[in-house]
Amino acid sequence: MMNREQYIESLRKLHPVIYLNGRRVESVVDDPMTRPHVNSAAMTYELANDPQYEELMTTTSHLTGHKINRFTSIHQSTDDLVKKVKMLRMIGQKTGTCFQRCVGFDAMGSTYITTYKIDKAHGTDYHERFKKWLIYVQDNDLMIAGSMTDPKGDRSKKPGAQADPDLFVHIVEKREDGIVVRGAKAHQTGMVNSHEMLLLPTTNLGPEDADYAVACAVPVDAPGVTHIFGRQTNDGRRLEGDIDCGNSEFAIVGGETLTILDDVFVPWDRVFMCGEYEFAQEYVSTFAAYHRQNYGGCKVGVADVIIGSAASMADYNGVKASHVRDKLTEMINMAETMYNCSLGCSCQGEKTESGAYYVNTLLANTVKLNCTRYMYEISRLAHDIAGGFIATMPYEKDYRDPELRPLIDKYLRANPKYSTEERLRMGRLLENMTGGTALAESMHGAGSPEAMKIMLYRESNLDQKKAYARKLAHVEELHEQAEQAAREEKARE
Amino acid sequence: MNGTGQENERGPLLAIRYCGGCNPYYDAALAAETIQRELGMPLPPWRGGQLPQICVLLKQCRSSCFPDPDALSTCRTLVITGIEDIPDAVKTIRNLIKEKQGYDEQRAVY
Repeated sequence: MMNREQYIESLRKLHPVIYLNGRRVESVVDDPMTRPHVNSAAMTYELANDPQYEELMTTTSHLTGHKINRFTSIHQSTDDLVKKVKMLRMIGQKTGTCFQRCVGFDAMGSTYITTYKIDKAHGTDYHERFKKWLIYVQDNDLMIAGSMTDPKGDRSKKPGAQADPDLFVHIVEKREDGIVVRGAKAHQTGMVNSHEMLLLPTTNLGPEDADYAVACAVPVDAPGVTHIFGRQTNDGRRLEGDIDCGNSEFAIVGGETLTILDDVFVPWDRVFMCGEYEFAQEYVSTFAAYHRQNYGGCKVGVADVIIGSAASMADYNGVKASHVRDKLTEMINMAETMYNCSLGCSCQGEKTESGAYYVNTLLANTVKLNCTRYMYEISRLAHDIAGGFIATMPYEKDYRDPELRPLIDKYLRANPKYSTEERLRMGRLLENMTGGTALAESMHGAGSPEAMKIMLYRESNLDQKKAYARKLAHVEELHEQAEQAAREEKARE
Repeated sequence: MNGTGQENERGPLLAIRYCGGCNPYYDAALAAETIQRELGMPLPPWRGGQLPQICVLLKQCRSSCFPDPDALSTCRTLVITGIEDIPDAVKTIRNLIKEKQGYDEQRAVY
């Protein structure tokens, strides 16, 4: 396994093409705009080498028997699924933000399951190819960006019907030695500080979309790959100091990119799906369920920090009112409810034909749907507790000015037990964790709410629920009579 | 007690394991430091391989993530669920070490 320093050094050896705010990023490790995201992902390496956390952070490869970082593993039991959630919460508590590595983790899990199924149906050898690549990932402890979301263009049209065929990644050439893909992937979490990306389809596909049914592994610095780094709320503050960033070491969310694949060549041993369109839907939903499971882990870790920050702000403000306790309790309830959902979908997981364990899809979708609401509500209550102070704090530069600082210290101090700087720093942490990009990520990461609702409705066994109700209402017989009458009516027609 | 304490004598005498700390109710690093200080001897982490004879498991909440703690050692596992468990655990470890040393000396005579 790599440690933190080895991970950071390994990034220096890569040369991805990255554009950010009108310039080229020469080194993701040294650039102040990308370094916090590197630091956050580096925690997944650092903690794996700390005896205090290795129980959650490491496991044994079912392929090689080697000790590996859990982020490169395939779940071998429901206990592994539970440990994933616990690991994510624990890291979230330490970073207060996204640490990015779960997307690739879930892409690998869903590829393992889906390639097994494709091979069974088509006699292909994608699963064996994938296992070989996975061993390479495990042995080298690589960080993989899970690349699912295409730009999608006109949402009412399937990939092949788009005005521009490149709005979904597709195969443009099949050669003896591999394939050539073109298109783009949007919202790519952790992409610039990953080693490779694992591409998979983003939607269900029909026969006319066979060229869009593609899954493959591509190094982040492969020829033809360009990354355009996404702007985040307050990201310019990284260039101005550390107080105003709030969380200067790890920043907010995952450092997302629009990644363009301009005729990128992929050798066959890195191709894990090539035209088997009928498996796209299942592939996507398997990935999505794994990924929705996460949000009751990582976001709860982040919520733990927000709750702690709000409680601290109440202390700094000198507010001891009962409503603060009530609001904190509400926040705790929502955080633990999300955690419950994640643990539930893990405990109720199933063994797939491939041998990998998979979450309970119905319960996994409750995790993320709750998250789209609760993270906003937790943030709203945190703002309520913290007070308007978090919206009007002075610039860090003014606080560092020798003439202004005594004035700010004098007038913005509240509870005399705490310094003004403490209050400012905590206020900035809360401000940055609870607004803008951080909230939008809670809404749309791992799928937007409507996607979860579709899955919940589909998986909810509604007919059985109706049967329970009919039995207790004693309408079963009436219902049967009505159905019989309808059948007779239809026969007469 | 897991067995008689005579099995797997080549395993390390003493090792510490951590639960992983997803929602900790006490500071495991501080607890480990306190135990080491009270014992006056190092408490190395278990990093795989042979089981230790005595294992100190720092379990930072009440969940039964380790349903069979005794399986983590060949002689005895002490589960620390709070800082208040430390004084008794240290006493027990000292007694166990004495017992084991006595056993080793006896074995050397025969």
